[in-house]
Amino acid sequence: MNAGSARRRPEQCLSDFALDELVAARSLHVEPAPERAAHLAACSRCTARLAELEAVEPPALDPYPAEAKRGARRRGVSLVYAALGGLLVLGGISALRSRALSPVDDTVVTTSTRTKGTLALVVFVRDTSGNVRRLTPTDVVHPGESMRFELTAAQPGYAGVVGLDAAGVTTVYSPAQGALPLLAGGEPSPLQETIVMDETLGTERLFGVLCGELHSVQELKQAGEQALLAEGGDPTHVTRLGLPCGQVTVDLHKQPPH
Amino acid sequence: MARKQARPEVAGLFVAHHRSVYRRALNLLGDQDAAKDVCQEIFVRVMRLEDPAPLAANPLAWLYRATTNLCLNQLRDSKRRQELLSSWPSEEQHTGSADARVIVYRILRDVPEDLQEAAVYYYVDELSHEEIAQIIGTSRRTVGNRLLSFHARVGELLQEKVLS
Repeated sequence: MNAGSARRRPEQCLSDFALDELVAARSLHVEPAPERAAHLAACSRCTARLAELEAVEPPALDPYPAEAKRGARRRGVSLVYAALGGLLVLGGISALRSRALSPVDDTVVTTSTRTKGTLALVVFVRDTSGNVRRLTPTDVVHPGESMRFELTAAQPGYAGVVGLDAAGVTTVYSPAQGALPLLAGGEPSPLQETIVMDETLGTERLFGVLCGELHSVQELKQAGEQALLAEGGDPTHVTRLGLPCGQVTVDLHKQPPH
Repeated sequence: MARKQARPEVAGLFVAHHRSVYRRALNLLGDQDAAKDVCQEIFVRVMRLEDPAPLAANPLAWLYRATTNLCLNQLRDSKRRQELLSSWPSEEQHTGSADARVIVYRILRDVPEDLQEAAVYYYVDELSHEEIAQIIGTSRRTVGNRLLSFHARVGELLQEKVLS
């Protein structure tokens, strides 16, 4: 089989798949990998092809087709948030933005937001009676309560949340597996996971991260474990994870139930 | 701590990849409206995914594969196939185009779908075996075997055409 005889792309040049990865990176304002950047700088063919790919402008899509609405209602709240996220990125209906900003009970007004630079993390806590509050810095949580997260970033990036607890255990809360998901910048993004708090008491430090390059859950977990180890297992002494990402922290003060 | 399923952020995926999905569909189908429909359908599927793990692991690879398979399914659809074949140059304009039409028709009809998929990545997209393996989620050896099988099957079809 002489499968390569009809191929037009020089062997050393980047494929459309590789160039599409660059298009995605550029849309997220992420620098390409050094070897690809070097090839692009030296290769007129790849530079021209990349320009062709980036010039393709799809027609406006219906941001929320009826078919998706039906699916979202069946799937429940997670898909509603996902669809709302899509709406926001598509420059959708501004009236719906307030819904995306309020993933839980609006009546709680105290803030638990911690910001650093252009990243903010909000934690919403639901107690065992079903009441929802927005975590404040002095707030106390209890085993059995559940929490959800909302991240806001000034620019798109790969986002996740990891917790370092008082027992010296590192747990990645978002995402549950695989790689960190892309997060649209500029708007608060409710994360999908609902976490039920375990029996470990004391202070747990949550890190929200926003990365310019894709990292796996395993890498995030390892970064938490290494940082915790470096501080003798005390999460309150960990100020930064060893990842080249924007980071923000929120402390959970967990006490026994009343 | 217990947790529920994670799902890739649709908004972020759309920002990063909708252009690639649309262009890919346009390349394979050659029709803007059809490409737009495919792009729409792909992101609806993202929202409905039961198991988001493969998508989260490599979003672009997942979207490439989903788009390719959706487009190939449309091309296999008899109505779309007729449109495709009828749009080819007439016999007066291009000697041998009738034979080519028959061959394309029979490839779409007779070659197994997994072989068609690998062939599209290799011959149409000119991806490397490694990239194809990444998209399909298999080994490079399997990719090579599928391409060999595709080549052999197309050879058989051509042989049948010559003999008929």
